[in-house]
Amino acid sequence: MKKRLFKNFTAVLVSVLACLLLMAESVSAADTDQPYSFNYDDFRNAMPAPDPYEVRYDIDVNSILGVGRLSGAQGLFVQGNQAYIVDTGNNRILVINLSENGYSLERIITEAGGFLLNAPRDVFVTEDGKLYIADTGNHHVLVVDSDLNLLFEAVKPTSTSFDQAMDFKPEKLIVTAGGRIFVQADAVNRGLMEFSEEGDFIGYMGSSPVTFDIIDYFWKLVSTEAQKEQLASFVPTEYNNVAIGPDGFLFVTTDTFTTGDLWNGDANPVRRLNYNGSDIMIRTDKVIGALNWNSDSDCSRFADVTVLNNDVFYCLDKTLCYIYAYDGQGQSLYVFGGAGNRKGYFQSPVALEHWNNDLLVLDEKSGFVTVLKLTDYGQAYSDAVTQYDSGHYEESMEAWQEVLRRNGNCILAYDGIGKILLRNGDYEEALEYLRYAKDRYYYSKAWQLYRKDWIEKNLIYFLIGLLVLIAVILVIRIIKKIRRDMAAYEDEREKIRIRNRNQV
Amino acid sequence: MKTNVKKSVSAIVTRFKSLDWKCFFSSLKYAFHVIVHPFDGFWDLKHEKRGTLAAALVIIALTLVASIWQMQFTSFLFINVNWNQVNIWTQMAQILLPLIIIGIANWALTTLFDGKGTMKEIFMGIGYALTPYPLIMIPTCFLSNVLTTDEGALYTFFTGLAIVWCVFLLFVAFMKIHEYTVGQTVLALFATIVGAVVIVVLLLLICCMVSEAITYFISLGRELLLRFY
Repeated sequence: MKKRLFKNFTAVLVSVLACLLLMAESVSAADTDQPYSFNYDDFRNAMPAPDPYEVRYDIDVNSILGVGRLSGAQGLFVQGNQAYIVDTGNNRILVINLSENGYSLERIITEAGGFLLNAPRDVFVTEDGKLYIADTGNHHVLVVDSDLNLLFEAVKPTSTSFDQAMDFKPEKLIVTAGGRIFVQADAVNRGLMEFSEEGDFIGYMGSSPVTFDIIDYFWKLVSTEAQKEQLASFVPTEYNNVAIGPDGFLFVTTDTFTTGDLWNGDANPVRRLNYNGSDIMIRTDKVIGALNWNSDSDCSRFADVTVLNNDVFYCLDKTLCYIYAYDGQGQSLYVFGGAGNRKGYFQSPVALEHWNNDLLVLDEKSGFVTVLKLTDYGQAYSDAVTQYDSGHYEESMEAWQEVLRRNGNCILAYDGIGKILLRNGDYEEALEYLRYAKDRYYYSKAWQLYRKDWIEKNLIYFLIGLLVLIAVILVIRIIKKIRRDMAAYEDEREKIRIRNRNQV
Repeated sequence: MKTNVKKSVSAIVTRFKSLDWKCFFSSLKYAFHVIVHPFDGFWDLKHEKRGTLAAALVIIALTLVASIWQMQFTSFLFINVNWNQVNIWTQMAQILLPLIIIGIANWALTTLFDGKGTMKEIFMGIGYALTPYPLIMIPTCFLSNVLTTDEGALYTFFTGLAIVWCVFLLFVAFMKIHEYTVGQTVLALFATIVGAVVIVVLLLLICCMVSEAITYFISLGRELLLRFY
């Protein structure tokens, strides 16, 4: 008996071990790839979504246009139907004509306004064809007209606020409609450098406020000189790119932050600046790129941002190679892209621009500029956002329904439809959509209105019910009383009868 | 075979019928008395034998049901449940395990601090002390579906009330069951919490060691398989 028991026990143990082994095997096999496009749900999970963008074509300047490979290209700009690729390593700017089905070379700029370009990093072109070139190697911003005649140059400021020991190395620049130049220069952490229409230095703009921390102050008080040197100094963040929106607001990106700040919401890697330089971006969702990360090296760091005419802005993530789209309210629309060398994936993306609704991504490593166009899904999505913003709610609703037909997981579509239904006074249906979207604010609003309507509609039944209840209670009481009285009367009669009998 | 089944069913039925249902229901109803007159209530629970363990267990079960119910039926305005990660057994264990550990730790320590309560009485006390939780939380679930976020304070109030009431009852229960003064109870509860922490640490230690051992044997088994199979 004992032996048999032992045998059974060994059998069980062996099978359990075998199961565990199998399980350990299957776990490693379940590791799957990230989808090309996805949305984040409420719990920061990536839910696969249809692709909002697809590749129109890759601009290959080497084998198609025959002008040699791009070398460490940094800058990209689109004006009209022309793309300007700043080929930093080859000291030139390529001007490419874009069309729906193909592209062609317009010209190559190697010399402008009497200067040979030296490691230029960015270019801005105004509508009348003026070129603003961040000629980094020559330490100036070069401004030339469309025939490349020198207009003026913006050079290192003589002001004491600029460290005179340092070289002026403009890296990124944009020009406002009025002609003011905002330059993001290397090793300048006081914000963007602002130059006037004539190229005179005006000052700095949009530096992030230096935060004062009482705890840090305490540690500074008690620490020695040597320890103080070890402490990180309060340095405001340095911007790494700048773009201009359709309404003239500046968008800047930064990649110097800690993941802890990112998690707390203290770090804002992309900001929308007004002319005072304060951040006025509305952030309904977290505008930080990827919402899940394991370490410092795999959190999003933006390289560039571009703003479309419908206020939707796209952020280019150079670590994960994703493109994140947000609308004007800071709601995450979709995420797409990824690292790799397949079509539509990027290796080392550095610049992002838009051409109408198309996106152009410059890849420093592969030397391609990828032109992405909206798919039908992306078009519906874009329409829905645009129509809603411009107040065309019926059209927006149709577009959202189209989005839902293609992606039943699209939270924003439920939210959009819910809000429009609420607006139309269709509270009951709005509640359903807003519940799917988990939009607590608008659900609460819709619910309040629905509840009010419901009570108003049903109040009469309540009152009738109450009256009926009171009437029933009264009737029951009366019946009971009558019964009691009857019983008492019977008792009385019985007593009288007994008395009478006794008397007899 | 058929007769066997019939026999066992009838046995269960007779067993069921022979239970003292009247006593059970009166002891369950006694919970309503306890929660409003805790000092009298817990004293009589112990000395007058007016409570039963069965009723206490039913109340604990109701608490578990209420906690699950709450997740499912509370309006999403007030809670955010990630259903992909909810495991109903873990959810129950989250409530049950602390209660069991605290009960055991309390018993273990109060026997040293000459508390008068037995293990049965302690668990009975815990059970009865939990009564307000299902009593308040189940209606609050319904209520939450009628409220907007602006009126969320009401929801927070009721949730808070349920917990505060339960904790207060738990305190009184320990006090009356062990026949302590307030000061002694505070001390005993503090010791109980320390004891509970020690129990948890020991359990974790054992778990860790067992899992280490299992991984050791797994790697050993894999090595053998790779080498000889």
